[in-house]
Amino acid sequence: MDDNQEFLQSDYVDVIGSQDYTHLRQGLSSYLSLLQVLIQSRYDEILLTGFGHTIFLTAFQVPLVPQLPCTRKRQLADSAIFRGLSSTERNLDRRLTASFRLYSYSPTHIPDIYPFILHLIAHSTIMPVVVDIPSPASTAPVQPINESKPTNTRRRKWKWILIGIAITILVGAAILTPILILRPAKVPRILAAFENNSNRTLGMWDTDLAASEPNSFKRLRKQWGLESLWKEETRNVQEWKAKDGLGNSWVNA
Amino acid sequence: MGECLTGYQLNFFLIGLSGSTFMFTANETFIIKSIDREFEWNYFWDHMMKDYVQYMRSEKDSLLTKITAAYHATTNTPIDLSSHFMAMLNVAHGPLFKKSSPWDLKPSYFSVEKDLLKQTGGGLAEDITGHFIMLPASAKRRVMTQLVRDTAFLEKHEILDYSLFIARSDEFSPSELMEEPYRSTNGTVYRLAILDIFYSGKATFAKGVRTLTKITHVPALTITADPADYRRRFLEATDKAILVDDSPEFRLSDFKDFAEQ
Repeated sequence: MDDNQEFLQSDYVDVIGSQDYTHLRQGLSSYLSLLQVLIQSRYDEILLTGFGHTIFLTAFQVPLVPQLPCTRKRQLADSAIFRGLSSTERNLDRRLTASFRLYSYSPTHIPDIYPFILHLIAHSTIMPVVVDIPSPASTAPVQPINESKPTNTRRRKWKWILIGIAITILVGAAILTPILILRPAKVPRILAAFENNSNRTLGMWDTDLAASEPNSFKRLRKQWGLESLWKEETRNVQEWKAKDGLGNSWVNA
Repeated sequence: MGECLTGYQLNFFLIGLSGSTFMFTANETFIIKSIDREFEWNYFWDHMMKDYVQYMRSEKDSLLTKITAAYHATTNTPIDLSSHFMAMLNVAHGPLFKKSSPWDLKPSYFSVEKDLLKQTGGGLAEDITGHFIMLPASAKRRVMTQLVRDTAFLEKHEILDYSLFIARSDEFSPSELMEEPYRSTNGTVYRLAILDIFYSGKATFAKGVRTLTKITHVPALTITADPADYRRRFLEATDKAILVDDSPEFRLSDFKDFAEQ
């Protein structure tokens, strides 16, 4: 008989039937009733069944929690339960006066009992702690979630992973934005703007510069024997064809 | 051969490494290139334009890219989309150059640039054995003479990052060959042009980049190099890229005006 089975068969474990699971889902009043049961109970730990998995609630006596060192309180606040909570909800840990431990056979089911846990926090002076234990059929040792690995280490690792991802995204965006968004859109839109304005022709573009540097290019074109070819080529801006920065063809903008 | 070259094969319609967009007139005689870096446009227009026109009028055989027009395009859109464009002669226009790929030769600097070229799909010039220019000694002398003059003009304006565009064709008929200044004895025609002549080290932005790389001890890049050093490497790279097919080895030091630099 392993420790789990021994625990289940011990005198201080009471089994509340599956109807209590229904109660848990029926609303806050049910939770409150359950809490009253827990608090008034002569039992320190209560076994809840009917969740599809099994949950233990262990009620610590009120005087125990204040004796916990600060680091232990922070660990509680950083436990698996709180990772899914907002900062406002996290602040509720100041109300710690007692602690429950919830044992679940399946950590994947923990989100199912979040409403209940939140209620415990909000409507009582109880600090619940989720601890994962294996099924009684399993020979794996009991391994509390918040004690399997130092929580701070896990958080630190994830923090750096997230920072790395964020930096990668920012650098990537800084590089790709001008290429993917601004420039490919810019040139076609400029040409489109010209095309849509009948007063703007290729020759008109040139006049902006011709005012400050009259006929410089024209003289060069003549010198190079390109003037007639130039006129032929630029006769109609709509004949221009181009490819944008991504290599996509666009004609007539 | 080609150790100091990092030229890359140009995909005719793809974007250049500078990020510019290239457009072509209907029969591809002219290229319209966007000048996306504002400081490049400002420097050229404010400080280099008159010199360029004067130089190109006096140097009729110059290999500098032939700029035929410049545009400041603006729109009426709420966001300023104004941009600048330069129209240039496409020296490789025409059906005779359709079959071969042009090459862009520039001196090698920081190895990261080589990696960048490879990542963008470009082929390094040093990988194209057998595709280097083969000219008679007299033609190579003319090319190098002109390049020495042209790069001196560019150095005066501290222009960096320029490259030698090379297009070749074996399709020319004997009569057409005679009109081409740079042709090999076996009938290959080469068209050459110095491209990307807009990045000036005199521009404030470029000065900032150069200072930053000095502070951070980043090895010299093509845009942070000393203009004289860039010119020297450019000419040496070109000298190695052009082989002489009918005379003893050609020496760059033969040119007095360059050797005195």
